[in-house]
Amino acid sequence: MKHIVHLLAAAAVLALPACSKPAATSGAAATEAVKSDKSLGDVIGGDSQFKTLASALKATGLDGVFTGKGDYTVLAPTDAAFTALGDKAGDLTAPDQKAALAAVLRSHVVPGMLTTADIGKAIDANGGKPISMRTMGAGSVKFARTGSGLTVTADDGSAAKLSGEGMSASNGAVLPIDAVLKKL
Amino acid sequence: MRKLLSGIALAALAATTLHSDPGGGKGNGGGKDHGKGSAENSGGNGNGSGNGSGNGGGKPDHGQSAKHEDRGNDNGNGNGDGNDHGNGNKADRGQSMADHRQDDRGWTQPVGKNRAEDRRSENQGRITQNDSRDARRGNWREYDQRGLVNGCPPGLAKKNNGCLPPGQAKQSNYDRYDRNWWGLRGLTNTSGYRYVDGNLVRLSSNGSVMSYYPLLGGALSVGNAWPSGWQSTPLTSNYSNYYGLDNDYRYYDGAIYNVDPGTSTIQRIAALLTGDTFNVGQRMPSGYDAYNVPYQYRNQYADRPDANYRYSDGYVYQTDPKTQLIVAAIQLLT
Repeated sequence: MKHIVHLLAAAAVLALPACSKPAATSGAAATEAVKSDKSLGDVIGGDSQFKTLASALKATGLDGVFTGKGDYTVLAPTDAAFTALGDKAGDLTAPDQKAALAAVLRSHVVPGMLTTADIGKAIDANGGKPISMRTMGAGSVKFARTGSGLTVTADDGSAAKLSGEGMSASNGAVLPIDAVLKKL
Repeated sequence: MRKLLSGIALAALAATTLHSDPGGGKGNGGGKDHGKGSAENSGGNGNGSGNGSGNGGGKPDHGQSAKHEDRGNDNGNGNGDGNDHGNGNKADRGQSMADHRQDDRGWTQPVGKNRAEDRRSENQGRITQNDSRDARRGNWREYDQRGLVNGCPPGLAKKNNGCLPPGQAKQSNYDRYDRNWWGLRGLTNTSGYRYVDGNLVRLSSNGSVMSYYPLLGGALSVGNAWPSGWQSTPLTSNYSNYYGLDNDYRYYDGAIYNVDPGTSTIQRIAALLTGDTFNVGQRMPSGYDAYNVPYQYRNQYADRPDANYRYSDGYVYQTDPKTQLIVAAIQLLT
């Protein structure tokens, strides 16, 4: 847990300069795909709810993935989602456990650009039943509609709600989620 | 935007031995492969055999639209021993057997074989069959099946302590997790590993490391040297083009790394891949249920009643909504 706290503190410090330029660092909020000139790295790094995620990407070296040309959708746990791990986080963010952190992160990445509208249409086309999307981990995640919202569930049963609108980036989309999709 | 349609030829490619370059033709490979032996793969031989047949196609151009190279019927017969030496006979520039073009809606249609007509198609931005030598894709799954490498991880070997993990009594919280937890594709066994110094390892009865598997973000971190005993896979041109990478990049278990050729230092993790490669004629598997085409291609490849499009690792796959069968694999190039 202390490592999470340290990471959050470090992220907050690192994020300070970005906070002075909100217009240049926020992604385009959108249910549908919209054009954006900001990379996924810029969108995540410039949003105050993703400080822990941004720090985790940098710590593992995965930040370079999201400033490149490949297209991805990041199921982005908010800072609150990381905090909610509590003691279960263990030493996830310890310097010698970056491989574990990378394993957690890659299971939150889906190929291509996926919007909440795309997910909703797919669920509708599937008769209202959950739909499955591949991740960059070894498995997949399932999206389902619950009430007016969407949930996402990993193969290991860990689940999250999609919180708020997604954000378009030049190389994909960011979908905020309220929990980490990995059992620790 | 350049794009390249590789249709039926791709069905042949994935079915053949990985390193052989059958030119989209027919190939038989019985493979021993890829250098390093595996503790799990019975002496390091693996990556079996395959047979395939198909039609080659054109080559991507460098303009605003796909180019028709009229290189169809790239049939050859090949026998590969799997040691990167497929003996395929590549018949170039034969008659296209399964040419396609794409109309303004992005619909791929058969086209005539008249060269003049094909040139008109090219000028109008039509997509046609392409050259399998450029369309070939890494069959990452085969590479990923290498398993652990025998020996001691470089970081641990420097300690000259018989390759005993530091602080054996202190086990990581993640020791208990299996390969799926780690998101790995290259481990044969699902469990029984320990996490040591950025690697998954197997221990001998005396507690020393007898084989290892370097992990993304662990041993394979930016700034670390690439493990000298660990073979990686160079990128094929289509991936290099799409991800905007040069020759200093290599693939390993779902990720593309930039490695300094002089120092072997990992400089950047450039991309993540699903490792999925699908072939025309097969059913689109679960995991691609929603439309996920990148923004810049959405106008061109939008789902319609008679066609769905799904993206993975630089390719858009066109499927039949009724049968879910893949009818075209479209390589995206930026």
